Amino acid sequence: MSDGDDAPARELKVVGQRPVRPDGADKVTGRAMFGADFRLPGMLAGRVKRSPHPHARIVSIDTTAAAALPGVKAIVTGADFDLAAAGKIEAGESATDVKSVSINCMAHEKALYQGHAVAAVAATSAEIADEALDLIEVTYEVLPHVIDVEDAMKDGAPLLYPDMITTGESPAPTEPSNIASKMVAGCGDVKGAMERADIVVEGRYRTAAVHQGYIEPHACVASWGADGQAVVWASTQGQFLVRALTAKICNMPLSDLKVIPSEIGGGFGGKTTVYLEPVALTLSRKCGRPVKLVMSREEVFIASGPTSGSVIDVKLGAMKDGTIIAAEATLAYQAGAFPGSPVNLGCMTAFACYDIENVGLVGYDVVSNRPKVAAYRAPGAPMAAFAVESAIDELALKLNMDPIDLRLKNAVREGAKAVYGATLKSIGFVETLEAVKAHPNYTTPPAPGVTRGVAAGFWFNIGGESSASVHVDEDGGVTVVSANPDIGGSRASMVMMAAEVIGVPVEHVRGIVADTASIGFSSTTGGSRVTFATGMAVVQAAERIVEDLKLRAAKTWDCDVSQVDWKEGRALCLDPSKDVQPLDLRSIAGKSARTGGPIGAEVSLNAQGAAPGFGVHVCDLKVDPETGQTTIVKYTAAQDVGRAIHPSYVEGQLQGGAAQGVGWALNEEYVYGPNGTLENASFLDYRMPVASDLPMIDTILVESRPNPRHPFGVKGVGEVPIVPPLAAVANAISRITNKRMTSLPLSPMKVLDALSGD
Amino acid sequence: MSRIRIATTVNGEPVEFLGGGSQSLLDALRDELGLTGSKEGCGTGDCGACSVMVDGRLVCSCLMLAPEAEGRRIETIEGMAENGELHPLQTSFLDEAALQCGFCTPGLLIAAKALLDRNPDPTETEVRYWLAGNVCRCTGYDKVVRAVMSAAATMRQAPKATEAVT
Amino acid sequence: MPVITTISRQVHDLAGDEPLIVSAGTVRKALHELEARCPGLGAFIEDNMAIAIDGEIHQDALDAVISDDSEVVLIPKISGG
Repeated sequence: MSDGDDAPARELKVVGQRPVRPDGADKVTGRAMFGADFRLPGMLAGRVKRSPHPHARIVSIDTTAAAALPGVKAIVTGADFDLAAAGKIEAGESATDVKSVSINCMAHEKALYQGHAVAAVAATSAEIADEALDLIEVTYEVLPHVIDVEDAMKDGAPLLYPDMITTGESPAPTEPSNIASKMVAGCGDVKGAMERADIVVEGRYRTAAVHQGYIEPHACVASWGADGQAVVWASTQGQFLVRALTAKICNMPLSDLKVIPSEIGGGFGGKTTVYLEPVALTLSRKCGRPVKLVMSREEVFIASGPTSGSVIDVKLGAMKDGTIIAAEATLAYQAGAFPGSPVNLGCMTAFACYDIENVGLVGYDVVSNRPKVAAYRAPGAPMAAFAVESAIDELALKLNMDPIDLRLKNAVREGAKAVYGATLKSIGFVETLEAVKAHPNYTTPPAPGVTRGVAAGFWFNIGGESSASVHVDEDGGVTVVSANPDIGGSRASMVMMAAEVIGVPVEHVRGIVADTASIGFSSTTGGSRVTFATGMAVVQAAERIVEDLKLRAAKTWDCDVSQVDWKEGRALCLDPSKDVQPLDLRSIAGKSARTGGPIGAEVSLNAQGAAPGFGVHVCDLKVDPETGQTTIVKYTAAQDVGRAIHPSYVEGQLQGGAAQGVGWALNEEYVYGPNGTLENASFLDYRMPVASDLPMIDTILVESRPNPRHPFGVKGVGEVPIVPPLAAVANAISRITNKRMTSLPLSPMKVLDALSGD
Repeated sequence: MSRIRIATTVNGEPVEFLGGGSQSLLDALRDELGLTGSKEGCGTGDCGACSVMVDGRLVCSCLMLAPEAEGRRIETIEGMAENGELHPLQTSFLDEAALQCGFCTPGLLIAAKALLDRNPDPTETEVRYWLAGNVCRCTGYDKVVRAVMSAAATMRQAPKATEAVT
Repeated sequence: MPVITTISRQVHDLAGDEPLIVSAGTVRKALHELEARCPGLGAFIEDNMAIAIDGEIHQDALDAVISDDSEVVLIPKISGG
């Protein structure tokens, strides 16, 4: 797409190209070190004992026999974690309730879900640790449990917390419930507008809890030093977050803990908290030896964060011409065993694509006996978009309007007010819709027997705190150090931005992800913030380097710095009275001592000005009438990306998010038995898309609205792509079944039922 | 755990290690031989991150017991590049940006090489079905499939230079 | 004087009858004013809310400038995956 008028006026040489990523060779040769790959001399193997019950009082834990087993070096239980030391901390993005994180790492008094950790062992081998787990005697008093969000909200439901009073409800309720909080938001007169509307559509939509599904299970090594200084190696999206949470939970000074991030084998939000690190460190503290803890896949499913399942009521009122004049939604999200579902974000994103005058939103954050939810790509937004985009599709069918035209009619445009009250700026939703409308994948009608679903999605994108340093080596090579674990190729964009600013080939720039002791604080990799915020820090540091290099050239030439230009990695002298050759980076760097010493700059900032992103997906699919099996035949993902630094990795975000969304729509779900235990805690039974399930995923990168608040126009791109697919798939299937498909996943059985009219 | 001496060949080198009991070949490769390029994503043979070649057959090393490696010929990701020179599949994965986090990549490369060893000119569908045992959560497979097809094309053009080591 | 709007019921509950109007200046100054007039409100906003000024979302940005004609909107803090 062509650039808009307000695109940054730069002639770009590196940004927008597709170089090989700096960490690539290590990752294709097996050299890259992920969480479980690290080992230390004398390291012990840790194992975690987990509750078999979804809800039970822990009456007693007897570790005597386990402790007597030769080779067992340390055992911990909830008694080893001082909850009084926990509280609220600023752990990066927002204040986190450390007490609940601590209890989630190791149960106190009650096991709140099947898989909740109740004890852990460190031993000289994994076999001995496993044997010791069996020897730990836990006596439970089994309590009634509740799994589903609607059941958990009912009067008389088993209560996880007998003292929990819903917040956000006024007047405050007098009786406790599983509803942790209620959010109410809106504008205008919804009731009046609904009455005025020519047409009203409404429905109840359900989505299942789904897991982020990163292929690398959680893993860490913790080593406690005799002086109280400790080191943790962890696979995480945020080493500073791990440091803050682990230090607080282990009741130690934060500065005594160094956290070294490994390469990370996927996160998608699921690695933005701690599960193992405080346990491993407490084990290590007890025995003075390094301890490694690695989750099995089953543990990942039962004990680490899925995202919320949801029940959403949505109602839209529109005029005959398609103008939506009223919208309301009530969203109830599973939080898992601790409060904190992303329902507030679900509310704020639900109608964010559309300019609607009268909007009413209610959100409920509901606890139940499931693992505590963790962030998952655009947390809270995909479920809300599933409901809203399905309702809009229904409206399009009833009005006999093209689904893109209906969305164009109601799309938020520059200067429109978002439902949460703020004016939207630098947004490219209309451009994205138009790009899809003009694309051959849309102008070509679907093949016979194939139907097409369209859906849109929104995500805020965020900035926040980031640090980066850039230094020039003696030979003119450049190193970029940042603190954001690279989950999708962000190091490539960091080195590219530095190369662009300094004017050197990208191959001369190395990218490093540093530990907590080696660079200033940075917020977690998440919220699609890294290329925007950390990228801003890298660009500013690189710009300081260029200023410094110009000064050094001016010194060398004995001219004023205003007479020095920096172009293509060289200083040029503009002073006509000087007869000098340009100075390249290498010659300045090689003699840096003579111009003031080493060349380096570090920038720490709190980046603001993240611009929201919009996506529009089109899914063509067919259904086997015999089996109900859905086959995706063509998929197109378009997105308002600002500017793509490395287009391949931006496309990769769109493709990967779409694939996850397709899995969410068609197959993935947490299946619980009547006893409250998870019945499909394996990749065999929890069915994520494999290569033969998908076609190529075509992408359209809309670059006509670059973000003016980023030096290269970057908008976050990672979250948006998982928002539209749920409804894009469901809308296509609804057009085959002639019945609104309202409950995910759309497994073959459900589709077959709909086809047979049941 | 009673441990026995196991003699095998890994990436062309004869090796011996002590292992046994319930230890998988994957654990032996990682813990006894320090070859951590093969990954454990599930431990149940469902994700393919631990894929290795055993006597020329593609297997999930998490499903094979370590003692079963006795006398066999094992090939892992660490042996794919020859003398520091990347295999065309590895180059192609880099050029096509076919990896994001990179955790499933070693398994995908081993599986893709097994495919191209027996079928130098696979269709997109053949690539997709062959790789269906290797789960990738980041990429949506688009660029992975493209990388395999592109490597196959490269290898067909220059079969000599890229002959598979056997 | 800038008027603060928000969809957050918790902010409205804490503010009670107190109008959400502040003097121009920085976010920090505005929060001080609110806290002085309505104890707990400024602190609640500082810990829990992001502040959109003229459409741009600020988190923990107490130095951000609010002008007389600024649109100031409080929204829950945003995290992400």
